[in-house]
Amino acid sequence: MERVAAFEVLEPGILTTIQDVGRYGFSQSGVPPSGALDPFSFTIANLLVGNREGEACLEATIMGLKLKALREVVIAITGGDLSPTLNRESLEMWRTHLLVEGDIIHFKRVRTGCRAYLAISGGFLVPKIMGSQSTYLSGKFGGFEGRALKRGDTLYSLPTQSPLTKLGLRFPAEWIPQWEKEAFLAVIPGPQDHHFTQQGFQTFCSSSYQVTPQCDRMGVRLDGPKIERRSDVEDSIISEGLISGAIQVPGDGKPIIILTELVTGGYTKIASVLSTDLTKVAQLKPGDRVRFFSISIEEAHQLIWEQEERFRSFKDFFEQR
Amino acid sequence: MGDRGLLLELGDEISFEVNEKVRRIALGIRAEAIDGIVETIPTYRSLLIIYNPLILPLDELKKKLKRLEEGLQQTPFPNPKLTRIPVLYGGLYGPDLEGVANYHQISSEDVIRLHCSKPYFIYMIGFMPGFPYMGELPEALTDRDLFNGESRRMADPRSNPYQNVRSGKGTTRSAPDGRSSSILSNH
Repeated sequence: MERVAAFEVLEPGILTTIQDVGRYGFSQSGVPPSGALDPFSFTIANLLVGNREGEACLEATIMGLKLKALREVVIAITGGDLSPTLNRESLEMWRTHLLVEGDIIHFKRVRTGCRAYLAISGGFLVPKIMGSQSTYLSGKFGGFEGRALKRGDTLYSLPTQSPLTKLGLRFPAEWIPQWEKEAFLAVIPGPQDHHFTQQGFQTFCSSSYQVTPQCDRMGVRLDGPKIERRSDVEDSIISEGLISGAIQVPGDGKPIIILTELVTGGYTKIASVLSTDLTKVAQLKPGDRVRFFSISIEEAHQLIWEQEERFRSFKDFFEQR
Repeated sequence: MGDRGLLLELGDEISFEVNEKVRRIALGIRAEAIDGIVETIPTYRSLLIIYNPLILPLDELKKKLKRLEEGLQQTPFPNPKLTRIPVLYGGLYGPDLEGVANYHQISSEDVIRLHCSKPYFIYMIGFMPGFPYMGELPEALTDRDLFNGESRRMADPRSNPYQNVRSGKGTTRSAPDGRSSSILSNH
C-alpha cells in the first residue's frame, strides 16, 4: 500500500510514543498489553478524523512535542491539555484540523491532565508486532522501532481516509472530560484486601494520595497515609497475574496503581480501579492527588455498560456528520 | 480482580500439584476459545482470567468455568519439554558467583556443579517477555536461614535467567532469592 511521510519530529518532548488499543493474548508469555493509557481520549481522537476506533495514535506526555507536517494531513488532538499550538497560534482540541505542508504543531506546556493523543486520518504506519502497533517501552518493541520518538524521526501514514466533510468537526463540549487536580477513582476491593486491617482499608478509602515523580507507563506510585497491614501476613505474595488498574501495596504501605506495561507482580493488591476510570489515572501527573472509593463488582459492570451506551451515542454522532 | 479480571486461586503454595491444576484449567480455557475471554495468565498457584463483561457477563463466565472444570481430566496435558541452556559462569557473565560460593561456604566449582546437577521446572512466565520462573534450586544453594523460617516463599528457591531482550545475551543469576530491583514489580 502507498505510504506517505506525514510528520517530521522536531522535538520529541518528554515522552512520545505510538500506541493503539494494545497487544492482547500474549500475557501468558510475559508480554503486557501496552496501548493508549487513556482509552477514552484515544478513541475520540480516532473517531474525529474518521479512523477505525483502534488506529495507532501519538501519545504525548506533559510537554515539548514539536512536529512539522510534511504534507496535507487531517488531525485531531484530545486528552490532556498540553497547550497545543499551530504555527504559534493556540489550537483547539477535540476537533479536526487540516494541516498543510510546513505547519508546525507544538505542545508547549501542560495545563490540565498529562497525556494528549494526536490522531491522523489514515493512522500512523508502523509494523504490527503480535497483532499490535503499540510501543512496549521496557520490552523495546512495537510502535516506532520499539522506542519513544526522537528528534529527526519521520512518521508515515496511509493516505487519508477522511472525507473533507469531517473538517472542522467538533466533539461536543459537554462530553469533553475535565481533568481535575484531584481525581476520584472508583475501586473494586480485592483480591488481597483481607491482608489489611479494617483501619487500613479505611485509611485507603478516606485519604488523599499524592502522585509522586515515580509515575510512568508501568504504574503510578502514590504517597500519603500508610495503609495498615494485618500483623500475621507478609508484604509480598506468590507472584500472580495483574490487570491494568490493580492497586499494589508494597511494604511501605503506599499504594501503586499498575498500568499497561506489567503482567505479573508479587505485592498484595488491596483493590483495582474501575476500568472506565483508567482514563483519569492516565491523566495524573506528579503533584496531582487521588482519592479512592469502594464500589461492588455489580456496580462496576453497570458503569461499564453506561460508558458503552455513551460511546454508542458518540459513534452515532460521528456517523451523522 | 477489578471489573475485568477473575482470579482463580488453586492453592497457597508453590508446588508442582497446584501449578499443574492452574495450567490444566488455562489449557482448557484456551482449547474452548470462549468468546469474551481476553487473556489467561497462569502463575504459580492462581489463574487470572481477563474478560470483557460487555461480551461475557461474570456469572456466565463462572458457569462456563464450572462446566469446564468438570470435564478437565479428559483434556490432554502435555509432557514437559526439556531445553538445555548453555551457561557461562563467573567473571563478566556471573559476577555474583563468588559471593554465592562464599555465602554457602562452598567452592565456586561446587556452585556450578550443583547448579547444573538437575533439571528446573518452569512454573510460569511473566514479569517480562519469555521470563521463566523456575524451581527448585538444589538444597545446598538455597538460603537455609530463611528456608527454616515460617515461610517457604521468603526463601523462594528459584533460579531465573535474566535476559537482555535486545542483544540476546544470557546470564544466570543464582541468588538465594531470585528477585530483581524493579520498583514496581516485586516479582
